[in-house]
Amino acid sequence: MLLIFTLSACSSTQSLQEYYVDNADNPNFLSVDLPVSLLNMEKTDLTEDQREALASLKKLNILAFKITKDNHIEFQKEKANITAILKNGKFTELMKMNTKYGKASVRYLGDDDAIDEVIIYGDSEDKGFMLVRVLGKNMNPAKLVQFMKAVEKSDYKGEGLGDIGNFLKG
Amino acid sequence: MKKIIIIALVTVLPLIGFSQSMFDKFEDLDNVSAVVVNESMFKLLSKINVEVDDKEAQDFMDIAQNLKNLKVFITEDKKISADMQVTMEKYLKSSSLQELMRVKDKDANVKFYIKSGKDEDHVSELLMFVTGINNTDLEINNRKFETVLLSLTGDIDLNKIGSLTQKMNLPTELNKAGKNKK
Repeated sequence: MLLIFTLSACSSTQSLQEYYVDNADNPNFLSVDLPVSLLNMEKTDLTEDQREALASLKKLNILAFKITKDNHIEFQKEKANITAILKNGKFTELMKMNTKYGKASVRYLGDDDAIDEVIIYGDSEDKGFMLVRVLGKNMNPAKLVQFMKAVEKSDYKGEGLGDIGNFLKG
Repeated sequence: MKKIIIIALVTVLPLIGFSQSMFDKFEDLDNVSAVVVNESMFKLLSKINVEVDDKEAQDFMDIAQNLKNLKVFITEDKKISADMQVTMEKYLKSSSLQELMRVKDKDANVKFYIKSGKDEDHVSELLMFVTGINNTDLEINNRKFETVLLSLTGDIDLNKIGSLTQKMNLPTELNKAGKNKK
């Protein structure tokens, strides 16, 4: 039973993962991969709890599709693809929103006290869509506050996020 | 005993899901602002150990722990408004909700419906329906709204509605269903 569950969980991440890999080189997409090591936390002074919370996080993965004058058809196609992957039922949906600016949803994979992946998706008809994956192992939401405190101590200034910032502004 | 509860839950859950799904068609419409929060989100929220020092926050944690589902649909489209009204009336009949109160003033027409819970302070479902908002100063996310449909399910303590409204940025009309003013 457990094996089946594990296998199915793997195969679903695989498809989202595959989507990432397949589109990383596609010129319509912008992809950013941020390992936790980028936060430079090794030397920072952390409590045991904060260290543990940080250790459960592995990396942040961002894939964005930017609409230009002539890729509207691709946008609709890719949007349909990604929506299909997200809707395949392996993910637990936390919430979704629909506003005049666009749609957004938050999902996760794993148990509610041991999350392996958080997926944030948002799209807008005039800008494009963005998929953010927070990858980790057994991330515990109870430790979120500790985690935030840990990140506050980091001297990370957003290296590698410049493109995404421009995407959001553009 | 535990097993029986689980079996009961498994049989009942799809039914709940089914009755809820009546409103699902509004979720993806372009002219509707929607917020849907699921049970797992409330569970997560209540797990996040925020240092709780004020009573409002404590109330919020208490209420969030027992919530199952929150759906808010806001629209300014007349046609969708009418559709919402019809869907809601159908829903009221099919799941035997009772009217809690009706407030009508010059700005809006607010109706509350409840499904009774374990005692008189608790309800298992709270439905709020606001129509005819003419007040042009009133805007949510820069969108002037016409009709608001809000559905909250779970074990809801009416005494604590106020904190929920505040923390989750829900329409303040919801406070009228609370018992704080008594």
